[in-house]
Amino acid sequence: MPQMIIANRLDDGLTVFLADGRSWVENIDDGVLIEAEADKDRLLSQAKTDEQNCRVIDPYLIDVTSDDGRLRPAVYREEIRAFGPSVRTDLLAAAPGE
Amino acid sequence: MYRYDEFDHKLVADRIAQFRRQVALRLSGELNEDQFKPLRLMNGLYLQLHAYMLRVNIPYGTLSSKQVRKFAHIARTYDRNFGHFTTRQNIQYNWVKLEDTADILAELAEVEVTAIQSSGNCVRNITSDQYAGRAKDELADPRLYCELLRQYSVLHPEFSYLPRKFKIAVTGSPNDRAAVAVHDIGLRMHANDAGKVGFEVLVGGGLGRTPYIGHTIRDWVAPEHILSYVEAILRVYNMHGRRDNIHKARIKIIVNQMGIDRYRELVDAEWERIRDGALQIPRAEIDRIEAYFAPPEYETLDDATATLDVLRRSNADFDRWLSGNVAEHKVPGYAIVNLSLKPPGKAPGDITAEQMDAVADLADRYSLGEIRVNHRQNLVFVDVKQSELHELWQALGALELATPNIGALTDMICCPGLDFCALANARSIPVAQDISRHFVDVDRLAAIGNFTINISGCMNACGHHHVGHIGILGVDKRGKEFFQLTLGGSSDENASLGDRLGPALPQADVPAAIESIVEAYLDLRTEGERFLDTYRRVGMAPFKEAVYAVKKAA
Repeated sequence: MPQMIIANRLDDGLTVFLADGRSWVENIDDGVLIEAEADKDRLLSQAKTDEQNCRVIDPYLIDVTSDDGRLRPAVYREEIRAFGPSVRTDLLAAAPGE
Repeated sequence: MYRYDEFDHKLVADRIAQFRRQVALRLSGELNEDQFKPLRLMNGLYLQLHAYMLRVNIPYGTLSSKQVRKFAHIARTYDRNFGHFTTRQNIQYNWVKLEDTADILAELAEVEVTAIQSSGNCVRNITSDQYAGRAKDELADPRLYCELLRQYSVLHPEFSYLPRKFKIAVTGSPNDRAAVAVHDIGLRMHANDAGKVGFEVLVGGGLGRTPYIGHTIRDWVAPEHILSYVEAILRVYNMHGRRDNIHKARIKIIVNQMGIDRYRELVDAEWERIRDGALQIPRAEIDRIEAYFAPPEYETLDDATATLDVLRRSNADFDRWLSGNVAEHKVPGYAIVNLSLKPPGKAPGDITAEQMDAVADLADRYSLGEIRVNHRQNLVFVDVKQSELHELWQALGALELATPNIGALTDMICCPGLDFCALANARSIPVAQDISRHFVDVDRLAAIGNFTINISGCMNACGHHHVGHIGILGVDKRGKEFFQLTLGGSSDENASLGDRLGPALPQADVPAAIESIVEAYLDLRTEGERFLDTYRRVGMAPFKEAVYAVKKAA
């Protein structure tokens, strides 16, 4: 299953995804989808370096699906992290379909 | 209300300056997350699923309108326009930025509110009865002792790194509205044989993955000795509590492993050593603090029973609200008004910045500027003239704060759950929303009567599920959310832990299961029996049959 790297940004704590060019983005669609095993280790290692450099906290890999053409974490805990509280859809930063 | 003196102000200002430096060190990389985490937690700052969360103390649940306006300002300026009241008389903000935190704490300090020790392995916010000082059934106002305990425990060097967090609750009434039996220390005021009011002391209560009802460690402690007795308990815990296993570190584990009699021996030996020392509270100090909690100057009024009866007869909605949400005040002509934060379909305990501002204005107009927070996540006006109840009801209704469900089935305790919390296994708020939408008929709620449903999104039990008449615990089963029901819990003066009903249910089945339990109860109850009384009389079998037979038939 393809994966992405999720973390919290240090200064504001928001959920972010690793994107191209070593940047961290709030919208899952702007994150980098990782399919090759070798890339997973390499990018996670980069993310850990970003953690040491005080950019993010606790980066890790999550499984992601893209069945409907839209990236979506496979586990609902990570889905809530990606899209915000399910009970406050008015607060969603990057709601599916937006 | 208590007002800070120069020492309080300096202590809080110093602490904020210290935390501001700690945040700067974290942002610049001189502190890593492992080093910073215990420091931020002691200042109430968590990292949750979506962002940092700041937990702010409301000591013994008492607030001024000025403080509530500041809460609204914080929600509007630094967060996403709302706050969440918790079961420990705290307010939580869900999206604060690390770089803003010291500024927020400085703003809170302007109105004498802090987040100090709202988290971490230390003595947490001292909680109490939301009706303290106003209840007709209390022996004395417990807040004086709550305040003494607050001053004693804040930044106490010996107890800043306990084996685990430590929660103290105090009630001055025999009718326990503060859940003291499920705290690490619970203090219950009562009179001894000589008629002097002191404290029964309970120890080792708590919820979480290993729930216990507290044991009485001493029947009566004189008020002037309460600090030394608490210190003896804390010192024994600090010495004997386990630091090798977080799941066995709370005082309840050591008390129950050691046995209450052995724990009492150790505490008594320590107490004997320190009882008559520096912690004996001088009468002058008791009087000084007590003066802060002196009752306001009430007008001499008669009860407005006749006027209210006329209004009740002509307006069923007002009648329901008066019956459900208004409690007796100890002063004639006044009433205690509960503001429900549980309207149908909303997250229990949530409040918007606009609602907070409006609540502050209404408190100034109708309740001498004071607001209370209770452990069931509602607000309270404690000094309302009975003659103004109808007017206040209309104003609260316009704010969606007059749902007549206090103490009823939809007055649910509910933790933030997996929608916000990094520890949770399941979402709890959607379950509460489903139940509140199912039981929307207020006449039926009144007919069902006193009924508590407590919902937690994981076994840490922030939603007090073990002590709900019905408890609901969210669990993860192979990546799916399920909900385990318990029956028969209570956190009042006859506290008990709930018993497991049966296999966990999917979220969609929970409202129907509650409906089946309620129907069974209505069939079984005798005159005047609450659900809890019926359950204690008839046991689990009929309720289990009602829930699972329906499921089998379906």
